[in-house]
Amino acid sequence: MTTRLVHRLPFPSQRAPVPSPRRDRAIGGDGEHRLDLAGLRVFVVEDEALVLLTLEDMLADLGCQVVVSVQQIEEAARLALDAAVDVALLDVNVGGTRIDPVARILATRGIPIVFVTGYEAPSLPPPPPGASDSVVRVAKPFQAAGLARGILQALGRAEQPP
Amino acid sequence: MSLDERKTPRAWPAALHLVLFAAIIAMPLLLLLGAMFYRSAAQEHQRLERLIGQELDELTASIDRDIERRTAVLQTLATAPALASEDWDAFYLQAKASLGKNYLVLTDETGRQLVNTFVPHGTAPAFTDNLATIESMRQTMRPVVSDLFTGLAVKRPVYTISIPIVGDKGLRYVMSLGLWPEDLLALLQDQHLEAGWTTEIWDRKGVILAVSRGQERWLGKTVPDHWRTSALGRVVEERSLDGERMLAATGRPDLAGWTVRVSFPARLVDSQARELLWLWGAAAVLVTLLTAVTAYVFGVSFTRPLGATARAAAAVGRGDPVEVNDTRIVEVNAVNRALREAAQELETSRTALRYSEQLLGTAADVAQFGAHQYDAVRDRVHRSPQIRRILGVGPEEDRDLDSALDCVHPDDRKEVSARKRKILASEQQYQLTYRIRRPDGEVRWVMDRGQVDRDAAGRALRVIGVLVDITDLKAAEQRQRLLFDELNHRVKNTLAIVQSLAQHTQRSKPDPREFTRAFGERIMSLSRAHDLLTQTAWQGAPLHKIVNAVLEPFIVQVGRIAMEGPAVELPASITITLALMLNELATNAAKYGALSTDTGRVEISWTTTPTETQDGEALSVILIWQERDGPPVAPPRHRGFGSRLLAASAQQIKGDLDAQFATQGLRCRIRFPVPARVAEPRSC
Repeated sequence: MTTRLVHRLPFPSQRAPVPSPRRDRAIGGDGEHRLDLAGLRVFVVEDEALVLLTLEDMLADLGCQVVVSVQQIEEAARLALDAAVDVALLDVNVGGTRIDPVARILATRGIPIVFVTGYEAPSLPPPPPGASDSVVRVAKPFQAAGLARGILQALGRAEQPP
Repeated sequence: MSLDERKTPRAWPAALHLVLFAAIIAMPLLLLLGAMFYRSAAQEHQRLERLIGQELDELTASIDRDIERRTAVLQTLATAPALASEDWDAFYLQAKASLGKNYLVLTDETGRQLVNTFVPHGTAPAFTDNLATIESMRQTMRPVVSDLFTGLAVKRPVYTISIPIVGDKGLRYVMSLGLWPEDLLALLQDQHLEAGWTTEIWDRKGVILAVSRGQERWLGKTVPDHWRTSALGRVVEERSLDGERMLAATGRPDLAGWTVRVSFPARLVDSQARELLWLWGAAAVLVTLLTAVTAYVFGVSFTRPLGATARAAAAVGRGDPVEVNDTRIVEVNAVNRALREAAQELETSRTALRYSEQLLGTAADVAQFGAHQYDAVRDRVHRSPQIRRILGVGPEEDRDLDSALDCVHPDDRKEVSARKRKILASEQQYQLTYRIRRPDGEVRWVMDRGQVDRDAAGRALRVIGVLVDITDLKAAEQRQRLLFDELNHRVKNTLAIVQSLAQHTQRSKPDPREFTRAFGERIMSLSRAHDLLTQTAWQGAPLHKIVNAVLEPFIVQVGRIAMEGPAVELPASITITLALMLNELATNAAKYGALSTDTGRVEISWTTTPTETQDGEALSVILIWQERDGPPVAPPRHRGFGSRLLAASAQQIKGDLDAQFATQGLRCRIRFPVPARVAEPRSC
């Protein structure tokens, strides 16, 4: 886990390092999120073109770097194996196929996951073994603040020792 | 006292009762008949005795008359002058002439014979051998009839009638008339008695003088002693001389010392009595037989209908159809009628019961509920066939509650058992929902509702309940929950799209008025695409309709937008995305392209070719958006939202996009696969 936190940031050094979850919790408000999440490498899977574009735009506004942005499950699964990312934003139903295999791969790699979905919590993929109670979910439609909160929550969870 | 110990009276068949009845009726009749016959036999006997007495009287009277007549002859002779003058010669002649075949003996008082007409005059023996007569006469001086004796001169059995002739010094002569036993026989035969009758005459010594039958044989023989000692005038049963049993009576003539006997064979009397007895016996047997047969016939005529009635009653008991005909007995008919009515009523109620059972059974089958009953006192559970069908078990014995709960799913069993105990202890009505596991492993949901019956002290007596298979209901509930979740997801997704539209429209149209118009157009386009899908229940829509729906608001002049292509159905997942893409192209055309001038035209054409994808057979659709006669076109300086949207959308429908900014107008080629069979609506 801690290895994930040792960021090999591909961005110039003016980017602040990924903040620790403790600091995150103390921070409130939109503006600060932008700072907090800056430089975060994000893995995005969303089949709906418009929503994907919105996500990309929002993440860009938050200072995140969308490393992977895919609409097909097969591609997502392939990229999930070795993409260098800090967090994954996953739609649950991708073109009629559930995201579960992709989520499993990412969870195995210890990558925090945020499900961005219209589904209620019971329909979400089960949390990976060893994780605490439940998965992190951002309900559609979403605002930038909610998205940021979700990402931070996922990061915070992953930070906890198993 | 129990039923078994009750005394049952001894019973006989009705026929026997009737025979008994008939016997009681017939008995006095038989007795009367017997008495009549007895009386008749007695009367016959009496008549015979009277007849015997009469015959006896007549016979003795005849003998007396005969003796009187002969005595008269002697007395006439006694007055003869020759006697008086003792002229014996003349007297001999006179006597011989007047007597015929009989003869006369005259003796003096000493017994010396003076005249004997049997022998020639002068040859008579000197003394008579009939001294007993003379001796008797000397005492009585009355006529004497002698016993049978054999005369000295005659030398054969004779009897005499003698009269005394009295002189001055007493008895002077004795005049006897010699008579033959044949004379007496003739006298007997003159009585003209009917066949079988017998008469005998014997003298003082018991020597037979005459017998109406067998004279030659019995003459001179002595009769048996008991004949001589039997009382006179009484009818007794005795043997005859021949040894035959006779009814006999004896009498004595007044004028002789003889005894007369009249007899009639007892054989004939007996045969008469026997005949009567036969007659009576036959009559008795006839009456008895007639009575018995009549009683039997009547008995049968009673017992047969009664038997049929008994069988009919048994049939009613068993519930079989009753077939019993009317008889000649009113009471039996009444019973039969009652039986028929009872059978009919039973049948009616049985039919009703069957119907209601059938109804309940069918209702239970249709409603998929089964009834169960728990006997709390005996700890026995009874389950109906419907319930066993729900539980997937075959016919079974009633079982106790614990083993009955074996059918409950192991995960629910503990709780259900505890609940049931609590219900038994203190509840009135209950409703439980739990899972059961069938022997084949299938798990089903059931609802168990019931009611507890209790005694006055509150102890549970029994529980009656129904079990309903609610598996389908549970599944439907689950499906509904999933459906709601899916609906929620789709709405949320659509809202996310709307949100994105708003966000991106706002970026390109910061002016509120322009934003409102552009955003409205996009929303309307999205809405029209949804309308298309709604028409086909989200099964998809024909491509030309999609194009029509999207471009409709852009048609400002007829003929500027042309459309051409084969009929092809697009699935719902493609419909919305393609509509958004076409809207983006049209918006761009209206703002910068062919539709921004008065002369520009847009041609939309498409072709389909069969192809193979990883999902199976598919159609590859190539749609070409061609703008003509518009303003001069130049490639955009930077990649705007429209381009990104088109590219992402093409990605979304697994297609590719090729945009060429040629001078005559924009040419945009969109290629995407469509499943050969339009699939189920999929989530976007």
